[in-house]
Amino acid sequence: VVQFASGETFEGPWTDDGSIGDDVVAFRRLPHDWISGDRDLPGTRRVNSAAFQPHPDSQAISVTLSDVADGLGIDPAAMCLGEYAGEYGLATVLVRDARAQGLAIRRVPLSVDPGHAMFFITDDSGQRDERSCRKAGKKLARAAHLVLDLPH
Amino acid sequence: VTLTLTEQLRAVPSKSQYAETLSNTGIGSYSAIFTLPDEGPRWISAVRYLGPASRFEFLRRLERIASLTANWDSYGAFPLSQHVITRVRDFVDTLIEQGVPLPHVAPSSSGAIVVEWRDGERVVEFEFDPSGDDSVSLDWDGESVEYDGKLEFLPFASRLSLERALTELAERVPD
Repeated sequence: VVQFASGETFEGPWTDDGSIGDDVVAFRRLPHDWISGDRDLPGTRRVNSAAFQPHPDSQAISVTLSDVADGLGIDPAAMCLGEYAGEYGLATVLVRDARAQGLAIRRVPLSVDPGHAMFFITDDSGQRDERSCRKAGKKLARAAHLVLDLPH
Repeated sequence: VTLTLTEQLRAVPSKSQYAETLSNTGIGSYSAIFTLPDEGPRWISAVRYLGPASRFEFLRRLERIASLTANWDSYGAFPLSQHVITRVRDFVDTLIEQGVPLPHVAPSSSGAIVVEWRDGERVVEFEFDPSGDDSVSLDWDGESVEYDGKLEFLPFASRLSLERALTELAERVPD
């Protein structure tokens, strides 16, 4: 059972949700350290490979899916407002890119983030495979786009 | 204004000049753009001229990473372990002594620290994990290394590839 900071829990199932389309965009907040490159050299800013790594408890990578935000009329940039303002940038990946790395995806809506979902990998016995998830997450980071940089 | 390669290299201060400037100004990093023959403009943001001030900057970053509190990534990450911080510091210190430029360091949600040198699409990356099961990734001019496990058991061929890439980085820092 995965427990989130809000106290909400998720027990599974840990299987890919095929109803989530490949073209759905997944967003992930980026603290300063997850953005590499030189501000003075245009085009060099990018998402660091540390950005898409699983939490040790859930052994999965949290993201927010665009289809939910679209349905609610929420601008995804709002993910970086409020308590996160000025402290986090924003990256996107396509669900297709995640699946191409062997990651499965499952919606795990939270009260503070209705579009919350998790990328993960399971082994032959259906258990989450953190090591494989970490390797896939690194490759996924290379496919990620930096859509909201941090202010100077 | 387009400078020739020679002019650009001349415009880049030597390490000793730079170290002196750093000690006077407190600025901790330096980047340069070179225009290489037949290759066009090429940025080398990974090059950070080394001297006491650069190492100071690196240590300051590590200290900041060490001071990250719970949920620093906004996704519930735990604070980083001091053991990992120490391993990264010792590892990078060894390379700095050999003239390798300062790397980018980044903590991950899993509790590991990624140490990375990047030059365009070429990348050398070490990941130091709290469990001790580290990983190494290299993509450098057609050479590729993917390794998981303790660094001391890194296969010889992979070690050679890494040394070549890091030596090249070190050699690009003007004397």
